[in-house]
Amino acid sequence: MKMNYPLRNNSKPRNKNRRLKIIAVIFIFATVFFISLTGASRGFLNKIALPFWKFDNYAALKFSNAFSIIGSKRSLILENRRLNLDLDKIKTDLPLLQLIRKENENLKALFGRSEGEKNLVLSAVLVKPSVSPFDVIIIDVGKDKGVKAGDRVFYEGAVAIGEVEEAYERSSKVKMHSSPGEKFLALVGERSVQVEAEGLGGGNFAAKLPRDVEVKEGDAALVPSISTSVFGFVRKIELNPADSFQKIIFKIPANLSELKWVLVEI
Amino acid sequence: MPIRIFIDVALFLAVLLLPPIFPMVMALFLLYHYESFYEIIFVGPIIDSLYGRPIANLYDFSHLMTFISASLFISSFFIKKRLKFYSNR
Repeated sequence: MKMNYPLRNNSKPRNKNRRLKIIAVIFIFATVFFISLTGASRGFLNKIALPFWKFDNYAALKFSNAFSIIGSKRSLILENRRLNLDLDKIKTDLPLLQLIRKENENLKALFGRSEGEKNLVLSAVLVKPSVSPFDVIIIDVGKDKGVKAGDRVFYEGAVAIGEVEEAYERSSKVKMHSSPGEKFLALVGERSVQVEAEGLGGGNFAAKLPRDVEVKEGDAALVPSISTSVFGFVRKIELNPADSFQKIIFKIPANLSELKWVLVEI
Repeated sequence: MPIRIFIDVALFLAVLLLPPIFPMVMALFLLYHYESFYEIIFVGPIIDSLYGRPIANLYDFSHLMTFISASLFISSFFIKKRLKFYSNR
């Protein structure tokens, strides 16, 4: 006699296992998420990542030094000539610049507003904006050198590029002024017109000015402060005949993807 | 098992040393290569912990990569069911 047996339906235990798996995953994810919100976990991860970043910087430096010896003789001669010409021009401008700086300091002191000495700490850039998302950089000084959140960060001492977002034990996270969506006040042009500038990312900023305000390419966008520091220099002016405003694009005078050193004002 | 550990270490190094698109694409590939690739749960929070900050254009939302990795992981449950590659396993 042929017997017909009903097919075993064992999908219920499988479905139950699947549901348990999903719940476990959601629980693990929620735990990881809430732990990542704490400052301690960020500091801990930063501590683990620091040796890797330092080694990467060291290796990149050695690699670029090794490759720099490869090059045609002709290209090296041409580059040498170009650099010598640039150096001659800088040597001519430098004494004049020092005179003007001294005069500026004396005038400020006369009005009782001398800047005093800035306390600057030199710092190597471990992670550049090209590697990190969110337009941040990681530098190799932290609380051990007196760095704290809110400290300003400069390139070459006079270009304000950002401020410390979070200071860890031996490193810090710096948010760039040029991060997309970041807004701040700047003084533009010979008449130091106050504008609200917005970061576009990659060291670029945009601002809108009335059409009748005179601005030209190369004008500085200054930090509204007693000290002389800039956000960048005007690169492009966009004029629309139908618009009563002009849009100016200004840029940090540095290649952020090649940023190696910055100064932190503590 | 050793290969999986090696892949996890490579993914962690990619998060530290490469632009974020590389570890995310790598994690996405591994998510569909392996049947259960739970490591992607950690990729987003690690990127946000190391580099994250409030994004002005997204109403100061500071966990973008966490959100992306979570979405990829959850969506993989449904997409894998429909992939012939998985139905034949």
